[in-house]
This record gives sequence, structure tokens and C-alpha cells, in this order.
Amino acid sequence: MTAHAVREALPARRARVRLPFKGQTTLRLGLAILLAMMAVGVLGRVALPSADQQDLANAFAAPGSPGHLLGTDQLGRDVLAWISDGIWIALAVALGVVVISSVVGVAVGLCAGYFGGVADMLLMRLVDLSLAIPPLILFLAAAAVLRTSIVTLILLISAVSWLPYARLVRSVTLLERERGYVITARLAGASRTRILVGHLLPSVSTVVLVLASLQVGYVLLWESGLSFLGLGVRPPHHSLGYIIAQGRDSLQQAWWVVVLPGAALALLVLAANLIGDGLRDLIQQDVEVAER
Amino acid sequence: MSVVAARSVTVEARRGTWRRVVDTIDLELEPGTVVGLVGESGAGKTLFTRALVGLLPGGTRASGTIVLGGREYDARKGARSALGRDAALVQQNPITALDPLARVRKQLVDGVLRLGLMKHEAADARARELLGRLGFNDVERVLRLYPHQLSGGMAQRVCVALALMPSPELLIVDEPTSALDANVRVRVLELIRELAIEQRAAVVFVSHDLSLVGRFCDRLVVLYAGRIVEQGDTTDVMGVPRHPYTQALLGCAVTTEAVPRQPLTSIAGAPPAPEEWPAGCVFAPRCPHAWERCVAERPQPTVLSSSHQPRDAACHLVEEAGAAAPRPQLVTKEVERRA
Repeated sequence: MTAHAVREALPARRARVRLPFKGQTTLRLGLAILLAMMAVGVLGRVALPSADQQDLANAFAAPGSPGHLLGTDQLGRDVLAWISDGIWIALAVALGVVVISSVVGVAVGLCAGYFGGVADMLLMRLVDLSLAIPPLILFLAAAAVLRTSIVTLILLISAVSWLPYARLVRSVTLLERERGYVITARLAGASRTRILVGHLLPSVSTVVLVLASLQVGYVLLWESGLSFLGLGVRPPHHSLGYIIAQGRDSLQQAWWVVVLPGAALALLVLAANLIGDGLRDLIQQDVEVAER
Repeated sequence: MSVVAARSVTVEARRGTWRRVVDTIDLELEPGTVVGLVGESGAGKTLFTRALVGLLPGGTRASGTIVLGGREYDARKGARSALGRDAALVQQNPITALDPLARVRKQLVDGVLRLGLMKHEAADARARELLGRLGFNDVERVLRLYPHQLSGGMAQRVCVALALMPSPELLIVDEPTSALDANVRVRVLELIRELAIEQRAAVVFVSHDLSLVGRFCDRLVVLYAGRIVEQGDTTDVMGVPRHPYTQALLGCAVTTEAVPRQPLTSIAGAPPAPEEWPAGCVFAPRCPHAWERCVAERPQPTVLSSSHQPRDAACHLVEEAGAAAPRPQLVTKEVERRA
């Protein structure tokens, strides 16, 4: 290809680059923050030495010190390295919880809503029963019995966060199952499984998506909160909550050890909520177009 | 010739106790004919047809027998295993009857493919053929559309195509045109009729519009309070209605001769709720001709002609007058106009 041809092709290609979700400011802002936080996470992993190979000479170095962009803590550990580690842990826990709890919640909600009767009664009373248990007490009790790890943390948070999915999906299913297209599917000889998986699952998927993205915020807070209390992720992995807990004793000398991880956590939660709101707007828009 | 038939189909609804809402209906349907099922709201038209396909709503149950595709089905479950093969139903609201998340092509072929009735290419070809027959000029484009991109008339025709995909023996069309404007309505009805005759399907056409049904059906079955009060060839029932209810229903039809600003004819009173069904004739409380016998004794169908198609009316008047003498009453004018 000649240089001329390359020059010809370039502007045209640049003109075709369009950012996704045109007009969805909320959604775009949320995604931008999330991507920025993930970039920080990548940066910390790639650019900084790993936790066990750090230069610990400088304790309480202020942000902007040479070699420590966000400063160091009382033991001379780099705060940026911690935060980037914490971002990955937070996102991994959030992803795990959302996947597990949405799968369980959707399955329970679909069955309860579609089959009704005894199945509905048993499943929904199980949900009510579970909702009656205060999450914090459950976590404290579990932490006393179980060895805490990322996996047990994910399972524990999932144990309380599948409940809203089940309730939401059940109520949507109750509405959808009476809709004409479900009857059409039955008239076409579709089996129960086929109706549940092929017709009702897609129709509840949008609300589940919104709930899931909004729930990421809560999961992030639970994860950090439990880690702060020492019930969650433990070294060698570093949760944002754990870092904050470590820094709170020296808050007066080194505010950055507490404030910066806290800000990272706040930004992650903000991103999750913005994405959730944005998705809800997007879906609402589609629904309005479809109903017009 | 296979027969589609409902034998002593009864539907009960739970209202405190079980009440009959459809009372022992016998109906024989012939392939390639269109039978109109008419009656007011609450006459049991929809429940009866739902019982045939086994899709009764919660709190109701059916008994009796349904013959379809050479098999007998217990009406308690309905012909459920015949669904998607021998029995099909077109619902009232065409737009919501289609899955909002699937394209027309997928909706049409999905059922027959999953039941293994057709191969992929055959199903595609049949979908195209049916849509073409139903008056779509741009079949390829329609196949790629989502339901929200269809107009009411288009969606209705897609629903008809969907119902006809497996070449069913029984096609139930439930008020298929209430969502359509007058032009499209007539066109869709003609297409259903044409296709049904061609496919040798027995069509049950449910409506409360007697005059509309009269134009498209070979036979009429008039339901009142869950039972058949009169049935026969369309020309007979429309021309010489024998049951006072049919006469009154015909009298209610809005015709071009209606005088502006004059109240339209209606039947006084309302159909009785199932728990209020009288011991005698169910229409007696509203019947202009009712006398003591009507209140005391439930009329049985009087056979009016001995053709192979049933022609009967369940009324003491008819029974006492005998089969031969039709009594022109309320609708004399209507009869003359039609003749």
C-alpha cells in the first residue's frame, strides 16, 4: 500500500469511530469511570513492583513523592500498589456475587412465578425466611466458623443477595406468563422448559441486568466493609476495606492511606450505580419505542 | 375424513363452589368448513374453545371428550398434546400474541422445528408460502421484522400464518379482528376462510358480532349462558332465526338502515351469572315471549330439519310450534331485507 493510499484511508476510518451509547450520558460516565479504575488497576499491576518486592525504606511518604505517586503507609508500602490490588479484588468479588446470585435468583423466581401453587409458596417462603436473617449477623457468625477467603466471601454475600432477584423475577414472570406470546408458545406445543428458557428468560433478562448492575454497588460496599472488619479478604490479597482499616490508626499523620482507597471505592460504587441507572434509562427508552 | 368433535364438554369455574359456566356442549366440526360461535360476553365462547385446546385459566376445570386427529382426548386436560400439530388457536390481540424478542421468521418456524414436524428448509418455505398467501408482497422483509415493527393487521396475519404452519385439523379463531380496522378485518377473515378450506381445517370462529360472523361462516352456533340455544346453516339461522335470543341478537345488529340519533336496539337486562342460572330456560328472564313453562322447565333442543348438519333450537315456542312453522317475530324487517 502506498503512503498516499494510507493517508486517504486514515481520515475516513477515524470518522467512522463512534463511541457507543450515543446520548446516554449517565451510562457513558459510569462506563468511563469503571474503565478508568480498571486502568488504574492494570497500571498498578504492570508498573509497580509486587507487594513482596517493594522498597520499604520510606514510611509515610506523601503523595507525589518520587517513586510513590500516591504515597506510602506506616510500613513504607506503596498505596497505589495496594489500591490497584484492591480494585481487582473488589471487581472479582462483585462479578462472582452477581453471577451466582443472579443465576440462583432468576432460577428460583422463574420457577416460583411460572409454576405457582405449592412451588411458589415454598420458594417464596424460603426467600422470606432468608430475608429475615440480618446479613451482618450472618457474616459475623460465618466468619467465626469458616476460614475466610475470596471464595467463601463471594458465597456468603451471594447467600443474601440472590433474594431480590428471586422476588423481582417472580413478579415479572407472573405478569409475563399471562401475556399472549406465552400462550402462543403453549399453543405451538412448546414444553415448559422451552417456555421458561426460550421465552420467559429473555423477557426477564433486561430487568435482571439493571438489578445486577445496581447491586454491584452494594456488593462492593459489603466486600470492603467485611474486609474492614477483618472478616473478608485477608493478605496476601488486599481489599480496599482492609487498606482503610490499616490506615485508620495513622489517620492524622497520613490521611492518604485512608482517603485514597476510600475514594477508589466510592468511584467504583458510583460507576456501578451510574451504569445501573443508565441501563435502566436505555431499557425504558426501548420499551417506550416498542409500545409506541 | 377425519372428524373433529367436542362431546359433552362442560366447563366449571370455582366461585365458592364449582359452577357450570359451559354446559354440556356437543359440537361436530367438518374439515374445510367455518363454524361461527356467537354469543354475548360471558356466554362461555372463549372458555369452551380454551377447553378444547386445554388452556383453561386457573380456577376452572373441564370434563367431556374431544376427538381430534383420530384420537380421543379427555377434556380435563384438553387436546394439549395435539397443540402445535393438530390444533391451533389465533388469539384476540395479535400484537401481544407474538414474542416481542424474536423475529417473525423465528416465531413461525420455531414450533414446527421443535416438534420435529418439518425440516428447516421445508419450514422456511412454508412460512414464506403462508405469508405470501396472506397478502404480504415483501415476505423476505416481513420475516426479518420484530413484532413491534408490525401493524395490527400485519401482526394478525402473522398470527394466522403461525397457527396454520403445522396444517392443523382444528383452527380456533378467537375474535381475531377486534384489533383491526374495518377494511383489514374483512380481508383477514376472507383469507382465513380461503386458507382453511384449502388446508381442510375445521375452523371455529368466535365472535359476538352476529352480522360479521354471518358473512364468513358456513354454520352458526349461538351460545347463551353456557349452552347452545340454536344452531344451523348460516342462511337458516340468519334468515329464519327460531330462538328468541337469536332473533334479539340479530335485531341488535347495526345496519345501514339505522336512523341517526335513534337509540339502537338492545336486549333488555343482562345475561345471568352462572350462580344465577334459572332452573328453567336460561333466557326466560329476558325473553319477550316467556310464559310459565319457560320458568319451570328447561327446553331441550328441538330438531328443525333432518339434514346431516344439526339444525335445532332449544325453546318451548319452537317445540310447540313444531319444526315446520317458523314464527316470524321481532325481526320480520330484518328477514325481508336479507331476502
